[in-house]
Amino acid sequence: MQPSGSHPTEVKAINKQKFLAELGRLLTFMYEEDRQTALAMYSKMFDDAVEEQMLLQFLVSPTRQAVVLARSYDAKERKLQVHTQSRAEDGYGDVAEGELPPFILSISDLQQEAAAQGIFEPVEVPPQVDENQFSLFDEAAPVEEAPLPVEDAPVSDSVSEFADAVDAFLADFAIADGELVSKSGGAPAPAEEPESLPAEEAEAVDAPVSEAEDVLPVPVEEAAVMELPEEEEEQAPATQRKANVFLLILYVIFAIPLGLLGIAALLVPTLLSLSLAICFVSAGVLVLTAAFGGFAIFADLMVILGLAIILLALGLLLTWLFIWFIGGAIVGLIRGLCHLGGKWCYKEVPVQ
Amino acid sequence: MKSGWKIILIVVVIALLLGAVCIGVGAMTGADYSRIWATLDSRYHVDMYYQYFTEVWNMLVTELA
Repeated sequence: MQPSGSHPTEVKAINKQKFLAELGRLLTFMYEEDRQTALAMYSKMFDDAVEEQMLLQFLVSPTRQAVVLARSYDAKERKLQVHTQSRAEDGYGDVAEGELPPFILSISDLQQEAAAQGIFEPVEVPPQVDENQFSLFDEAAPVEEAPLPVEDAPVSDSVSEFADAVDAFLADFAIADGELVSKSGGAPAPAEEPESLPAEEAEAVDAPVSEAEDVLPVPVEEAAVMELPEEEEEQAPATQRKANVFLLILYVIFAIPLGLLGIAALLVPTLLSLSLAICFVSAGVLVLTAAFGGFAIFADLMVILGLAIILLALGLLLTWLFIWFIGGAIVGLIRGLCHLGGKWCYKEVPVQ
Repeated sequence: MKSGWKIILIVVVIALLLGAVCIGVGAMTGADYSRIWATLDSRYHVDMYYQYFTEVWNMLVTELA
């Protein structure tokens, strides 16, 4: 998967350890061995990179890489594949190269692309050997083959290349509770809280995964993985509202009579506006009726129509005033008393 | 509530302006207010209510003053 663009803020903020730690948290939908293999392969890529920042820019973000792996990972097929390989290793058949897990192939493709862009150190080319020299080797006593250093292996031979890296990585690190932990007893790898993903990243997470779901049955755990940052954001320090009982009783004793007085005081203008609204609307309707029934002269008719419109307009205003007193002022007074009581008589206490 | 106030005030202002325009047009075209009053009184006995409320108001002013 070729990265379409870089995210400078995220790339600058993270380093290898943080990248791997966050990637490890995002890959919980994979089997533990596969996850550690993938992490080891990414760790190997960091080791081989000329500059870590270049590789980080190439990889863009742990989330993107998790999406890449999610699209190429099917837990059910992987289980079947592992079973087949175990049978082959027991002597029931050969392990075919084509049966490599797709996620390893996708990481290998990624590594080849990175190598093509010159992100990795140049591969040391073994010295050219004459054909005759090969014949000498054939005749000579069998020399114990020294394992090729990982750096010298060809880029395309990804599985054999990363085998040592996987072992080395597993020897140093393990994942416990979704965090990268050093086995050497030292300080655990930095496992900072994942930063809130930018909007583009979130879209990048949602879209490819949904596409992948159409193609491959992605495990159920994957959805939980993608929602992980939100869950962690919700882990704010928990507080609990605790009531001061004495203050609460005191407040209720004073607030109820004061509230009733306030409501009574507001009822006066409320009922006044209601009565005036009824009067104005009734008068407007009567005048409007009279305008069409008792006037024959146009000038008088216009005056009466104008008067009816004005009366109805004032009636509408007073009706709205009545509604506002009922639904706004009185209800607002009750809500204000409750809010004030909550503010004075309750306090936030951290949960122990 | 705020949007409600806005809508009601706009409607009321428009209605008041329209009513004022109607009254103005009627006044300019020769409306006679005594004739209008007489027509309304013959229909709704407006003069009787007017006198009743005037008496009540004067009574209240006298009692409260």
